[in-house]
Amino acid sequence: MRWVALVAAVLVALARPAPASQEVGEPVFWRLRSGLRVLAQELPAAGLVAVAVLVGAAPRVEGPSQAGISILTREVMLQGTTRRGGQDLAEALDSLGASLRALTGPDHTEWTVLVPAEHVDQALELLAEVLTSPRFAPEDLEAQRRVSLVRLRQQRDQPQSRAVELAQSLLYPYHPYRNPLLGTPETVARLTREDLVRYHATFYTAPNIVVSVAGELPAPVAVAKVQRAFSDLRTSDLPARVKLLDSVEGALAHRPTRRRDVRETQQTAGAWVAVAYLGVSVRHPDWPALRVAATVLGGGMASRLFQAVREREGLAYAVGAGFPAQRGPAAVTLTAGVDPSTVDRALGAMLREVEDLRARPPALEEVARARRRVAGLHLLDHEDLRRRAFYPAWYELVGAGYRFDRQVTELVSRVTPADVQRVARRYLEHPAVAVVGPVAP
Amino acid sequence: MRRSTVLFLLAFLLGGALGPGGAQEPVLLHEVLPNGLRVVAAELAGSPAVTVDAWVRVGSRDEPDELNGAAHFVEHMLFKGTRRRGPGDFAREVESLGGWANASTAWDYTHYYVVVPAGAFREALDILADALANAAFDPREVERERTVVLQELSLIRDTPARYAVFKLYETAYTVHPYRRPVGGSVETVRRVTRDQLVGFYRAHYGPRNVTVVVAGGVPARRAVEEARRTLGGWRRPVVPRPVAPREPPLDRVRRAVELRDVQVTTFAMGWVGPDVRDEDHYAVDVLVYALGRGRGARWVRNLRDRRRVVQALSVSFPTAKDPPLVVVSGATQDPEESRAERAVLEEVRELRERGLSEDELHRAKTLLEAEVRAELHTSRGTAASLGFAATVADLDYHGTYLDNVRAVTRDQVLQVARRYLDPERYAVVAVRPRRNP
Repeated sequence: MRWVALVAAVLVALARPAPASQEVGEPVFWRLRSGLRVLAQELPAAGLVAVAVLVGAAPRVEGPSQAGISILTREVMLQGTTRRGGQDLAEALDSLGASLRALTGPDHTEWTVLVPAEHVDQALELLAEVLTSPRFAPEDLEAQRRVSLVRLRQQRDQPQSRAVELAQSLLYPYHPYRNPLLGTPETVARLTREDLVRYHATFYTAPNIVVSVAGELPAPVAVAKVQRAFSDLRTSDLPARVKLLDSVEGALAHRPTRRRDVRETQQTAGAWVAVAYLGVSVRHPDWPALRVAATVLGGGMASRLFQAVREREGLAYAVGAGFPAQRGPAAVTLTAGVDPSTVDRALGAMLREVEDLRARPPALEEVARARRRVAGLHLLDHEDLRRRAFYPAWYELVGAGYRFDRQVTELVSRVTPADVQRVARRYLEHPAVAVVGPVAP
Repeated sequence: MRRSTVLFLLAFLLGGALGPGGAQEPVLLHEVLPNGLRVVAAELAGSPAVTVDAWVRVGSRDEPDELNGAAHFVEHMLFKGTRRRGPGDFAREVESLGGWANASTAWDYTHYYVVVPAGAFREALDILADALANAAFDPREVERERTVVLQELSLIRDTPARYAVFKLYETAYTVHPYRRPVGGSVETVRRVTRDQLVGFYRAHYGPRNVTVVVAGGVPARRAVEEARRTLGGWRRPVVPRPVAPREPPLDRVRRAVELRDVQVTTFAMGWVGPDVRDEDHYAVDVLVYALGRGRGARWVRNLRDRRRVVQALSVSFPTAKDPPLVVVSGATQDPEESRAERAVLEEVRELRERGLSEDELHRAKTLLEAEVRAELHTSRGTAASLGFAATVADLDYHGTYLDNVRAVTRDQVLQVARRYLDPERYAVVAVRPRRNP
């Protein structure tokens, strides 16, 4: 683990603040005595400051019967604290402006605000209050349970999200990534207040949280403010079950040995195809090459899938591939929305493109374009202050280290055509295939 | 129409967005070239990116009925080749620059944008200019793209929340072109010919109908010079924008219900509101935030959190050239929308009685202003805001928008609530589960 001791904070405080320029250095990193990790970047930002709080409270740490508890807990936390009720809290959050964004991914729950620099103290205090002192009122839970159940059903009403969900559950028979983010109707119906209280006490702890501040605020000032605001966090360690996950998840998500298929009928206008392959963790040395391979296959309008399925055959409006950075082994997922009568043609075309990438290395020019795309999107996404605060914190939380945010471009630039073919052969072999749509006429 | 929604928030905060001692003042330049093309350049000091965003004064409102969907179809064809570039070349070039491109069509405009690292500005502008002026409409490409457009229509249809709002416009309007879906119908998209698309493109894509916005880490003076060099020689006359027939006021409740293979009931209710030229629209923007935006909004708290008649709720009001709808939409676990609809109407009556409290007004304005500022801190948000203003209102619009919002009073909000939200005259659409549980 790389971290800067607290002494560094003093040194930085004495040093001249970094000049506000386009070439911004990496964020300053502190690990506080409580275990809380803090990142700060001073940037010219039109008087704004973004605060991102990332918590390792997400499907990855949910127990088997707890699917959906991360989002349900998050939503009930927003309904009131021990100090103020729902109405008060909602008004306080809104009056921060730039409404609080609370999002959950497979590995993390993110709480982000963008505020004028003069309001950063109130924003931090309010965020800390929501995170450390939720009231978990039984009536709030019941209201949110209803909201969650409706959202779950709404998602199932949409063939796109349903197809991806089905492919994921085929791909991860034992790993917690199997859990849909919102859970299942069965688990969400059964979660109790005690479950939520225990979940919160276990995972909303200093060692499981990274706070990141970016904007017009000197870094040492930012860390002092964070330290003060979050002094009430619990410092307890994560349960052994979760700590062990890093070493056992290879066994939980073992490499498939054959293709698996599932089809679900839904009377919709379009059909959706999702094809998922088991990839690797962001910490794995093959991650950059697999990211480039996924981009060659389905990243953007120049990609093979877009060109073959949409531009040459005109089979789909939406077609592409993604491969996220995750703490555990992430999936390379190909998706396409197609006319129900052309499902098999589109699926055939998608699988052919994968086979082709396995059969021969892509041209250097194609790999170079994919590398530039990955690096360019990375840069462009950092234009938004909220993302600027988010990324290093996220890489830190998923175990790659906050510096990974600055290393991605360099790692990706070294990927060769031979690397792309090698990882395609290794990982893009036995897919989980899900099709959702009406019975073909 | 890849991004289907019309932009809601449109303003540019010149200077106001800057803290004391912060970054340099952004430089904003505006110039109309001799051929009629408008160039707007906003320099955002320190931005690593640049967005080049071309706004064309044409949308679905400008289509005759039988060509409904033509504006959107043309949008799809623009990146499908020119004399100099083949069908896949645009994407390859933009992505080689490390950037991305997209486009969207709405009632009143179509726009195309390329976002690239600031160093690649000139190349991005060149690509966009070629597409705008020289689209080829290769007949084989038109046929391929037709399937893609139809597929996009299915995607909208399969998303009940989006579909309900489309259907609401069809139900609420009788003569105005906003009644037609932006992307057209399956029938019109199947029928439209290549020649009709080319005719539509030639009639509307000329320098007098285009505003090119450059926002980001490029000096404003240089942005204008490059735009002049690239597009200053473009000549093509355009037809004047047709005047749309005035929609008579809603005279009763108009209802449409559709049964689907879904589990959740989705509903949308709409009232005709003020257009962008009408001063009332600032008060309606504030009202919409007070009622439906943020966790503390009145109707979110009352209908979702307290009475629990809906499980999702949104209130929206697009800014448009002609009067658009104030839309209340949501999802409910009830098999039908009737309980939610009645509850919304009760809220409407209460609102017309007493209006908003001072706190509610303050919360709404604070949130609205913060969202505008957040939107404007990226090159893409700034470009979209400037381009929209120049195309649908005028450039002054974004310079004054926030001042106009700040000036809205409780009394004005009460007046617009009484003027536009009539509990006896509105349109309502529901998408219900086929088998009631």
